[in-house]
Amino acid sequence: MFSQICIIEAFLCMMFLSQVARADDTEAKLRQLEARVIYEAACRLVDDEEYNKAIRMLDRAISEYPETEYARLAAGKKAEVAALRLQPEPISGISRAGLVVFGTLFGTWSGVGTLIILDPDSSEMVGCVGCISGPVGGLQASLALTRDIRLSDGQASLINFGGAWGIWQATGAAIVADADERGVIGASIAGGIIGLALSSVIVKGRYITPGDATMINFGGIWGTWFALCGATLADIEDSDAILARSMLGGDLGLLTMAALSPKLRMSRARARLINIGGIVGALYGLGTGILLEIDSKRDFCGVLIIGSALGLAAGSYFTRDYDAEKGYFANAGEVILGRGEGANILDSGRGRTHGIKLQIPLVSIKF
Amino acid sequence: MFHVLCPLCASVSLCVDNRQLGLGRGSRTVNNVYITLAIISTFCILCAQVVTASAEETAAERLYEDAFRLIVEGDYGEAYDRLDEVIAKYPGTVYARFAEDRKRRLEELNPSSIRRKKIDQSGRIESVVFSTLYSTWLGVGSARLANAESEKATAAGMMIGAPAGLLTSLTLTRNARLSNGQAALVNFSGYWGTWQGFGLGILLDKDDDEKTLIGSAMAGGLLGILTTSALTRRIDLSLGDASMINYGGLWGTWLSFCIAMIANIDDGNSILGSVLMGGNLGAASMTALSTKVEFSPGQASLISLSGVVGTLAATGVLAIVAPAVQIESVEVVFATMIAGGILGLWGGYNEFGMYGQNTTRRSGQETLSWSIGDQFHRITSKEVTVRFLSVHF
Repeated sequence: MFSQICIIEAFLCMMFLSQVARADDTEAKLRQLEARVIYEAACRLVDDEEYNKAIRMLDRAISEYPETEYARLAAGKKAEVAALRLQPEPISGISRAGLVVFGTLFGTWSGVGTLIILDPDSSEMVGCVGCISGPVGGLQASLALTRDIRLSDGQASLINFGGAWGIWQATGAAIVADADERGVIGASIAGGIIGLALSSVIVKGRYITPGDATMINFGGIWGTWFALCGATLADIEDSDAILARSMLGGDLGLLTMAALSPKLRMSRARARLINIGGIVGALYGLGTGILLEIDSKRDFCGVLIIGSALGLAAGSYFTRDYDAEKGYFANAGEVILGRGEGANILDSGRGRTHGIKLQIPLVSIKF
Repeated sequence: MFHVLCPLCASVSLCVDNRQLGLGRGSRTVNNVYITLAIISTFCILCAQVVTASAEETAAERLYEDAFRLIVEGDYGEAYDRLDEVIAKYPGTVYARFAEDRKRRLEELNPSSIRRKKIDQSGRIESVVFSTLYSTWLGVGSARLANAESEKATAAGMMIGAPAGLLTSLTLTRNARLSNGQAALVNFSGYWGTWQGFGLGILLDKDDDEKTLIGSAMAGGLLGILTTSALTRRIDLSLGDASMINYGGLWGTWLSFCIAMIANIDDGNSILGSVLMGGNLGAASMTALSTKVEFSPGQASLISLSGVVGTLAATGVLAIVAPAVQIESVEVVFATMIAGGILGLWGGYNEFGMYGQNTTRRSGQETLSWSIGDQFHRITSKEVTVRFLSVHF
């Protein structure tokens, strides 16, 4: 009888232990399942060329599910994605269209400018150079130059901006140098060509996001604006001196943002929100100047500068978490960024600064 | 000795030998039988449990996988519901435990984001920027309507309008579905409505009173924004569609102006009326066309640019030819520009209309494919480039 009871007990113990083992097995299976889902999502992101997001997903699979086979697969995939990300992309349709539109407009202006410089008597010359050679040449040239080019959206934006900036800087320089009308027009054409060429060389081989391009663009514009107001604030009367300072201020703003953008790696959306904050601030400055009936040009410009700076600062402050990863995996992402293998890759991609974090929850606005 | 086959798994047999167990005959044998049957029953019950659990497990696994996939994709609302389902249907299981843990992590997020569906907000910033600028105009316009002379009122209107637009648009679009295409169309409607309202104001008010013009422009813009906002809630259109409608409006305006010139209409109001109508016609026809053809915004821009270049080139040709053939008529000039523009648009459509349609985005190489019988052939631009001939099968 005793041996029978022993058999029954042993049997039941075995069954119980098998149940426990099965539960452990299910847990392992579930973790495997989760790792697979994350890995598959990362692969889909790679297909969509969302490389930074894919790397974050793969990091998640590696660090949160190290015991699964998908962690190993993810490690291999991550190296592949990191290599893919550094390869220049074929130009997107919208970026190509942007370059072609700018090229055509610049070609048209070059044609018209050439006409003004040459000052021809015949209408045939006007028709040929101004209306046909310029626009058609600009369109054809820009289409040919961008046909099989490999450029990211950020690079394309910066090339366009380089062309526009070159025109502005060269025109301003010619005015400051007291050149005549033909000289100014010639300088603007030459400036555009130099700007396009220079920006093409600068962006080549560099990883530039649309956000970087927007930041640099706005940096130039805000630099110009602050320098213009600053020159008026400094009581400078000479218009050439004001123009020269505006140009230098613009260059300074542009260079500052060019230096800062790889560190900040701001999204285009955040850059635009900060910019709109600056515009609202400038409008507030303008309104305050009118409401307070400030007559002095100097004081008025001071109020404008304060308004713009406050607007930009407020925009930066309230959007400080805009680019941070939100949602379910946000905390896990932070941990991974801090210690993961992909931290360097991510820092060069998204460029969020980690480590020091100062939070002042005085005002909290969610966008 | 008993040989029992498990009725469920059909693979387990149990053999009990009385002698081996050291039991005697009689009541011992009966006890022995009962005990053996009890063991077999327990075993069978456990087997049945395993089989049932296995079927349950598969269903639970599938449901949990769905829920987790939704979490990874950011569709928290759906994921939350699926996790609830896992907990309710399979309580006490590992799946329920995992689901509870995931649900708790979701609950730590912003409550509104838990219940929200995954939404496309790619056009949000575009809308915010537009709304800020537009409401600045509304503020200035309202101030001018209220007190046309006062600079201070205008400044106050501007100071109220700009932040009001910024904050209102940020709040209204926080959890709203707003794609790039929808945002572009709503913004276009704002501009278009303002222009149409302004034009109608000129047509209706003979004195061109400033207040009437500002009021009608504001009303037109608001009407445009509200109508399109309501429409785009039901219609999901792409950025390419929005670009087509935009360019359609502009080309309709320009072409109707040229036609008015050719028709020798002298009255300013009649020209304005035809221009407004032409613009609407252009936008409406492109709206109808956008449901049939699919263009990317890049394609739409390039086609439109070709039209502009065509117009300029036609003007150039006219400038070259005019002295020789003594063209002095304005009608001929505008007719030539129309012809140039339309030719340019047509050329642009032929050149860029198919651009990107036979190629995947960013593929970087164009692919020509055709089939003869059962065979499928493909040539990529890396192998052969035929630029002067385009054949579509």
